[in-house]
Amino acid sequence: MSGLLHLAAVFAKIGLFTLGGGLAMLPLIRGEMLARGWLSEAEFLDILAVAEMTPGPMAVNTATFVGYRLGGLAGALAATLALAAPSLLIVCAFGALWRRHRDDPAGRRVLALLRPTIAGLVLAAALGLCAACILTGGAGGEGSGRGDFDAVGLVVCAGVFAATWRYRVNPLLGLACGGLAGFALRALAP
Amino acid sequence: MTLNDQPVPLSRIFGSFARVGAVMFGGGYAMLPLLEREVVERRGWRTHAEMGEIYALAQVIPGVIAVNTAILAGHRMRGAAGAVAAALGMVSAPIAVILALAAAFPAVSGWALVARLFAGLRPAVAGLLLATACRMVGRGAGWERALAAVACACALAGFAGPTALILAAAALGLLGHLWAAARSRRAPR
Repeated sequence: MSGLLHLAAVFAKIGLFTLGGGLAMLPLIRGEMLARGWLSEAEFLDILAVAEMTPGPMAVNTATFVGYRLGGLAGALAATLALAAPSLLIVCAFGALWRRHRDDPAGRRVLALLRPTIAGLVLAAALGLCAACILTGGAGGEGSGRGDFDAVGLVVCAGVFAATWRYRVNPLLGLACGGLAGFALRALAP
Repeated sequence: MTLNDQPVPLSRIFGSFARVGAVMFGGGYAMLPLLEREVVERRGWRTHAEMGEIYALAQVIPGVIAVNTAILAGHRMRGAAGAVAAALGMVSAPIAVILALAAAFPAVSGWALVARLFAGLRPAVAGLLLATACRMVGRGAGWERALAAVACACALAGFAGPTALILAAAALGLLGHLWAAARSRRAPR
């Protein structure tokens, strides 16, 4: 039981001290896992690769994997839920406050600037992700170094973009067709 | 509460976020297209503008962004219980997948095969996200598009992280408000 508590405490700490998510979380998780001997450097890199390929944020996947390894099913659940606990508490504590002030003139002016900013950030993230898929030989392609042009990546990326942007295809359908096409094209033309 | 003031069942909230979590590849913003579709277009629980607010808040509170987004949206619908239901839904599929992989392949190296299967999805996710981003930017007025372009350029150039940019925009909005308030006080009609 104390093992589970310890596990939960470490992942709650990771959840509490990460701002900005994603990459910001990486060094923190790596430091905690290596310092406690819960993962080796190689295992951490493998988890990172798998986390990029499977659904779910990297931090959630890492928490589940490490929790499972250290405490089985209960460990996996404890670690993953502990990761989300700090933000859950923060939102529940301050949610009412935000709701009260979002309709103030001040809140409206802040929101007026926040919305376009976040749209620009999403655009930047999307462009970065597209560039990564087109220029680095695709994710997980072994032996393909950075800077390799990936025609399959370009075709799938542009195809799904056009289908969902111009023709408003259902996103899930676009994902499924694009993903299958990508897998098939890579298998056909290595 | 929903837009039409009918409480959303918790099981519905859990189910919807589980759907989004199940197809969330790449983390971070990659879930936005599916989240918008599920929560705004399909269910009509929230508006596009409100989701924009939620993304901004999700960045500036600590934690995993995707989970924060779920928590914030769930909290808007059903308070604390909704937040818990949404968070549990969002992580349910990732937990199941990782547990299945961990059970099937005791050595992580065996996961390479699965990884290759998933690799085909990456460019599809990227293209889908780009379409959503274009739609988000295109929805705004002229000055909003310009601001979006500046934020995008700052992020691409590595000039500032998302959190810093969001906090800067919030600070600017607050300053603008104080300035407008001071001006209207000086020249009362």
